[in-house]
Amino acid sequence: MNMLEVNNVSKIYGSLHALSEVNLTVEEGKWLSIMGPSGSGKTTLMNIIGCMDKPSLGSVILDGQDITQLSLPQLTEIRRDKIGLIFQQFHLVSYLTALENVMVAQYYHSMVDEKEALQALERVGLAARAKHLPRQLSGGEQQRVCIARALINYPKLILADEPTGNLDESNEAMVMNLLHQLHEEGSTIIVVTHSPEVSKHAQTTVVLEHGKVASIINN
Amino acid sequence: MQEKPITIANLAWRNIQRRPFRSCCLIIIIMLFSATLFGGSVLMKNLSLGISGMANRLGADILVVPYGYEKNLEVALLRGEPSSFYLKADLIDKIKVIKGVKAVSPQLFIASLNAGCCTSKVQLIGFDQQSDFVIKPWLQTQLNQPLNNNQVVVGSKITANVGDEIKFFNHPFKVAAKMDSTGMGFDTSVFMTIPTAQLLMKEANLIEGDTEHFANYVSSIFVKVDPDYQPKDVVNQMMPKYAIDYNIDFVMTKGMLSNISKWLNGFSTIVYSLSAIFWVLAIIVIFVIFSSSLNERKREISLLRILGASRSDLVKMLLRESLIISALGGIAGIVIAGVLIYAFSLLICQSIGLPCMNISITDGLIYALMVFMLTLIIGPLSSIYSALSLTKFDTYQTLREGE
Amino acid sequence: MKNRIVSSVLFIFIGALLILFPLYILPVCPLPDAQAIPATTMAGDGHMHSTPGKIMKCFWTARAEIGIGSLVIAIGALVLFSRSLFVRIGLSMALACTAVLAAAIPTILIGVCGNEMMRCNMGAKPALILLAIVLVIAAISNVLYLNKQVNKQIR
Repeated sequence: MNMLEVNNVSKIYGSLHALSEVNLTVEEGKWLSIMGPSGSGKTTLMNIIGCMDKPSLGSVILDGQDITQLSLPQLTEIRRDKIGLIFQQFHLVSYLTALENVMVAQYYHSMVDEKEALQALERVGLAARAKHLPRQLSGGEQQRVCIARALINYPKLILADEPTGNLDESNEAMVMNLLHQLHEEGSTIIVVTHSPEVSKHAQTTVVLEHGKVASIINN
Repeated sequence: MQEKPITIANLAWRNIQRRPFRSCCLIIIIMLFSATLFGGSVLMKNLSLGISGMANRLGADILVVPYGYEKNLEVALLRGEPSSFYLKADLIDKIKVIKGVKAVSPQLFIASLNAGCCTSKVQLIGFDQQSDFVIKPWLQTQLNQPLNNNQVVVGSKITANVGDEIKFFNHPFKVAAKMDSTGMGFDTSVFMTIPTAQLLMKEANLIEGDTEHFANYVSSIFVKVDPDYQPKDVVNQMMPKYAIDYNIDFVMTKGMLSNISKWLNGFSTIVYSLSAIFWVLAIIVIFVIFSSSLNERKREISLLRILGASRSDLVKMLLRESLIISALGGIAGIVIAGVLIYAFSLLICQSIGLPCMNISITDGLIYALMVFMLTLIIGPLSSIYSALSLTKFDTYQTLREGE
Repeated sequence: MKNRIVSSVLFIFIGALLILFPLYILPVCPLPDAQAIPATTMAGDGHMHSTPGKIMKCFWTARAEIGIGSLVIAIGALVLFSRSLFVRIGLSMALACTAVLAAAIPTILIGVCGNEMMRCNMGAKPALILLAIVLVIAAISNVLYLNKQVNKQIR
């Protein structure tokens, strides 16, 4: 079954076509990489897949549901329930501890469960740092908290935007390792990146150029 | 490991905690408002209670005093600071027969003890027990027998109780009764019979000159007017007959009290104006500060939106922040004002020079509640615009601004 | 560092007020001056009026508060220079006890003039009690805060 279907999606800002008739399909449990230089439309596509924006034309079917017809509150709900987001800049709430950052995602989803949040941190190897604030964590640790947060609600789709962009080699390896584990467990993963090394980990790579799909590579 | 559960209230509180200086400044501004309004209101109530108490129980409608001494009498009644002034006692019988006069009672003021350290202004007042209608209503327990020459009645702030011995000019007296708190100069006064007062004055050489005829003098005559008559009309009868011969003047208690009321109204205008200024100032300052933190918090808000917070969740969180700040400022102001007024009530009343009685606890709590409600409005009112505009930004683009 | 400065400044300030209030701001009754007393003064029972040369209780209260205020200032200064959390906790506890003493002086231990309308009773006494309460609250709050810091360090 297809987790994601992007059908002829275009995003137009005035005279600028950020995306132009993009088509792609992601099966459940697959790992897709979206690659391209700056300005190629990667972020725009990610926003649309991540239910943070709507296309000007075309449709997006996520887990069997056409999300292009939904209102903003409905999109928020889908994003909350089905998608786990990992950002390049980690984007943790600065005044909450690592554990609380994970629990915030639980809070807006359903119910806060401290034990479960702690298990998620354990999974990424950060149980000992649960009470630390983001400023007390290294870049790699912050990214791992981000991953724990992304996983806490058992999302069907993990969407990562340049997850290793701000990390050194060893942390990059750690994060990619975690993503592999998740993939092996059956999660569908989409990673947006400009790095060929990161994109090699995926099963399929879609290359974008000037808002269009330039090529699709099966790794 | 017990973390506090994440709630909107928690997130709001955390935001307040992470900017302690800013939060403190906001709380102080709101505190100024609530302290001014609560403190001012309680003080005004205390004053108006004192004044209405005085009006209700003063008894006299007209006070006859020597010409030029009206102010002295007013000060004596309000603050317990008499001076010595005298008029001829035979006027009493003449006033009694005037149409409209219901009762007449004289009083003799002995100069307040002002010498040296720590003498509070104890005022000695001779009064005529038979005709008196001024002192009796204030007595805690009624006198069973008339006062004899060795007995006194003391005001509520005199540190002596019924049965205690008290000395004046080395002359011992027994306290026969104690008065209720009047809020006026009576509280620091000691009352005795007029003959006793005159004897004391003679023995203490307080009077110079012809002491033998001193029995013919009193300080003031209190006149109660028949309800069917106007005090003004009674005064109009007395004035042409006796004003010049006796060199006297007339104080109408209603007029005296209305002057005080005018002053109180002026004071209340100041208090409420000041409170209104602080209220508006608080709203403006909070509005400016919350708006200025707009950019700073855009990313945080966007992140929370992306994590699944609805717009109303976030608006609630932001309003709750301002509500908590308002509540803290309100409580702080009310408590501080309440404590200061309670602790220094005597000093304040003395400084103002008007009678005042302490507000009851129930009334105080009602005032506190009303001021608290008004204070609570400040936060949400001033932050609603920021809350609504902040939460409009919800895209990943906002989150990534500046990257 | 911040805690040291803020808490010590606060303690020193309160200590200074403990001295200044009964002396200058809301002063107690002044010393009696024998020459100034006119013949009309009543000799009394000591409750309400002074006899020549007799010093009232409130004077001694003010003196005692000079001592206590100085002690509070000294302890406040020590807080500023103590880096150790435990030492500062101990000093703050000592301040809390000193505050109790500061309140006891004008009430139980020495007292002030008996009459409610005397200026020591109306002004200095409530001021000293309030300052003592503020000092107790500040000292105990500091103890709790420093305790939390200690626990954080241990973890």
